[in-house]
Amino acid sequence: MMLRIGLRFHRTGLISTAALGGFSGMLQSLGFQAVVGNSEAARQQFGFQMQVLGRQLSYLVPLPVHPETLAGYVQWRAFGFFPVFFGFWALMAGSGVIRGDEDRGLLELWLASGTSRARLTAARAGAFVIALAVAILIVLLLTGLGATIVGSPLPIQGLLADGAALLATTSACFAIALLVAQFADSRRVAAGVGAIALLGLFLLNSLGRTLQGPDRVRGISPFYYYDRTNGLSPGGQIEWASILGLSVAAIALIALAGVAFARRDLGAGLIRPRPGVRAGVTEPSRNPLLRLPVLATIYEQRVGLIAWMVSTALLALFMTSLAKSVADLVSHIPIFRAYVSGQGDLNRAVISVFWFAMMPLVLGVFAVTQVSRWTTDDTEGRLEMVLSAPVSRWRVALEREGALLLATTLIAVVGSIVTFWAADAQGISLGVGPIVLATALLLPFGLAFGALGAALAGWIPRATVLLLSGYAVASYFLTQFAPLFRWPRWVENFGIFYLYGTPLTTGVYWTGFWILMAVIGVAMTVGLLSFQRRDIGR
Amino acid sequence: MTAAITTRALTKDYGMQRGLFDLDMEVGAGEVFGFLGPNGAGKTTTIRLLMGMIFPTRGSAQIFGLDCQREAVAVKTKVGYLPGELPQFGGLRGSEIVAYLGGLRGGVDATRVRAIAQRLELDLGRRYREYSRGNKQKLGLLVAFMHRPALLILDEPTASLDPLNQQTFYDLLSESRQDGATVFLSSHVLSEVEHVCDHVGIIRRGRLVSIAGLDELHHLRIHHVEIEFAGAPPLDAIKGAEGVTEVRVDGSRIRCNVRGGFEPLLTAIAGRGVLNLVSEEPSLEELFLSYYRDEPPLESAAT
Repeated sequence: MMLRIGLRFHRTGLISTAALGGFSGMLQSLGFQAVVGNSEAARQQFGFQMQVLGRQLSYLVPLPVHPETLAGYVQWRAFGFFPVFFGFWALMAGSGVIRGDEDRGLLELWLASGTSRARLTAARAGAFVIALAVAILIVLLLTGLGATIVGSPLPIQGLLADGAALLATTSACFAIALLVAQFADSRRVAAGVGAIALLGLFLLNSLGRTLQGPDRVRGISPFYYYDRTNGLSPGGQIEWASILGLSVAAIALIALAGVAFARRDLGAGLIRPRPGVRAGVTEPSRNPLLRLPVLATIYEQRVGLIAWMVSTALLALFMTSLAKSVADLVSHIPIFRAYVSGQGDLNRAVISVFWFAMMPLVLGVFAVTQVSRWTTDDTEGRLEMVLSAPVSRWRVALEREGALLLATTLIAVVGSIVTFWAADAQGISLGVGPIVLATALLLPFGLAFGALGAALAGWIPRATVLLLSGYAVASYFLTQFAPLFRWPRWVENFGIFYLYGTPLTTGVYWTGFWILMAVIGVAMTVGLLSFQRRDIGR
Repeated sequence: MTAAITTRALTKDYGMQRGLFDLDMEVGAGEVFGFLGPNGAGKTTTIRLLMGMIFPTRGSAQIFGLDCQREAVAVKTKVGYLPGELPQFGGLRGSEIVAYLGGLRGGVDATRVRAIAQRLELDLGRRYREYSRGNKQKLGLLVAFMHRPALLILDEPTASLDPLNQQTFYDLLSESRQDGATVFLSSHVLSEVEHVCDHVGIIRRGRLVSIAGLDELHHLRIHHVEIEFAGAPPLDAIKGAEGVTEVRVDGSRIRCNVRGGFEPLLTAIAGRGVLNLVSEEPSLEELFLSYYRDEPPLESAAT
């Protein structure tokens, strides 16, 4: 029974992850012939270019092995990225299982019905692993189907080994998130702390690919063990020991989470500060921020916001530290020189093209989390409570956008300051003016996703977050890869991030700026008008 | 008397005969009005229409002459609101929630907040998610009462409150009333309505069945009657009397229900050797149920 309920709860994650992964895998298989070229020389040149690109993207995916072959290409372009979004699913599920059930009041109900905590943990974790296995199977089938259609079937053993590695890695991520959630006292905190833990482990493995120091401690990251299997690549390896070890670690962590769950009070984390003796409070808080529009929202989100600022700062530090090594590689490849041509100093151009192109995605994803919060406020009745005070709907909607703008400004400014400082430490001068301009032009992206979210929420509230997240990720990859693979301009223009341009090196891309302003204007108007007229509440 | 709440053909149609239909109602200023109905009858829909949270399919609602939709902000300056289900405020402390909502409203007196919190024995220093259901309800009541509103709209206000806190709530209500406030409260609890309300509106399946003062409601009530006769009871005459239902014979005793006046029954038993006659008023609960049963039992079960 519990298993069935658990499977039902993972339905959305299963469908969306399987669809995204399957689509991605099939697309890489089907599109390979179009990008690799017909002659052997073209094939070899393509392979070399991908090796260089692989070094640039080594912060995200393992280095490619024989990317001039379909199997090697799929291994790198599809299976290299899978841990990112499967890891995201694991995070959401790990913090949602038990901790999220508790926030929704379901846990008490289940425990009251005689289900033991150990059985509950096993059933909920088992349901996730089953859902995950089904999703991975769909992804493998679709990827394999794409390769078969173009006449280059993928090796079954390699495909299965990659699937097994993905299953073990994602299960381990889930187990980590589940364990972390037992120390948090709410789903939101669990998701935030879990995200920091998984991002930290991910970056640790990524840094280990390029730098010497972190290589020694990469072993604590599950992503390290995932990298050790690349069964599809010609000459690649299948390390069953890593897969098995990771699986055992996942089971052990789930068991540990079960023990932590069994020892903690409901509604509290495992480690709970001893309550001090204090007099009861009967006064309203004197905190002035709570009485100020916009700042009250920021104050309430302060922990999450600080986590975003710290994560962005770490990412900025990481990306900027790679700038010179990437620039060295780019300078040797004609196609990539063209990619950054006309942007002056190569080091600056690399920071502009690879890091500042990612910043709009970071802010877009942050904005999506805010949109998710707005829809939750509506469905959980909090908006109703706010609107019971004499405040207009206009004010509430504009205050939301204002808080979003302020929060994205803080994140962007922190990211830019760290970038500026890290670049300066390497002797790369970005210039105060250009970096201020590049930072300022980032801000509309958070606002754009907020406005699009507000417009969609009035129409399809349940699907809004999923659609916006998908659009943000798709936009990023379109902007990154469309120029490289010479995709038609209209394909690139489907994404939103090309509107940013390269302000750090070439100034304002005015056309993009005005299009973005128009998008914000239209979406905000639609969102505000629908917010005026729609029913509020559960 | 000035109307605090006026609705005209107020309708919210959710389809499948769910919602609220053609509600015509007037609540006078200074009155305590109880809104009774079972789950899904339309009580919360009515309240959320009054609060401008949802928009009517047709019809209108006014509070102190202000339109609940078009002048929602002005309406809410006069209203203290307790929703039926309190929202999640997560990790915020009670004191922060009061400060935040008070800040949105403006002009909330900290002395008043302290006084209510003390009377309800509510510790505002704790985080919202640590509150029990009863404490969350107390916080909701504090927020509704803290700015001395001219109109209190309360959706099932005593839900989750223990008897002591219920009494504190009744005291707060009584004081607000003395200060001239109007109260509109929904409830399933008839004893509560009897205790505090001047008028009662009964709603069923989205339609207002009746509005009456408590005294008028008593007229609508049935009476349980038991009559003891010296000889055989005049069964046919009693059964034939207007308003008499559910006649049961137990030897020389008759038990029946009488709806409306006693005159027809008294005429039927006059001169038939009545030894004893006992009439009992049913509880408001029974009256309430007689409105909500699909087939009113008093008539369908008549013998």
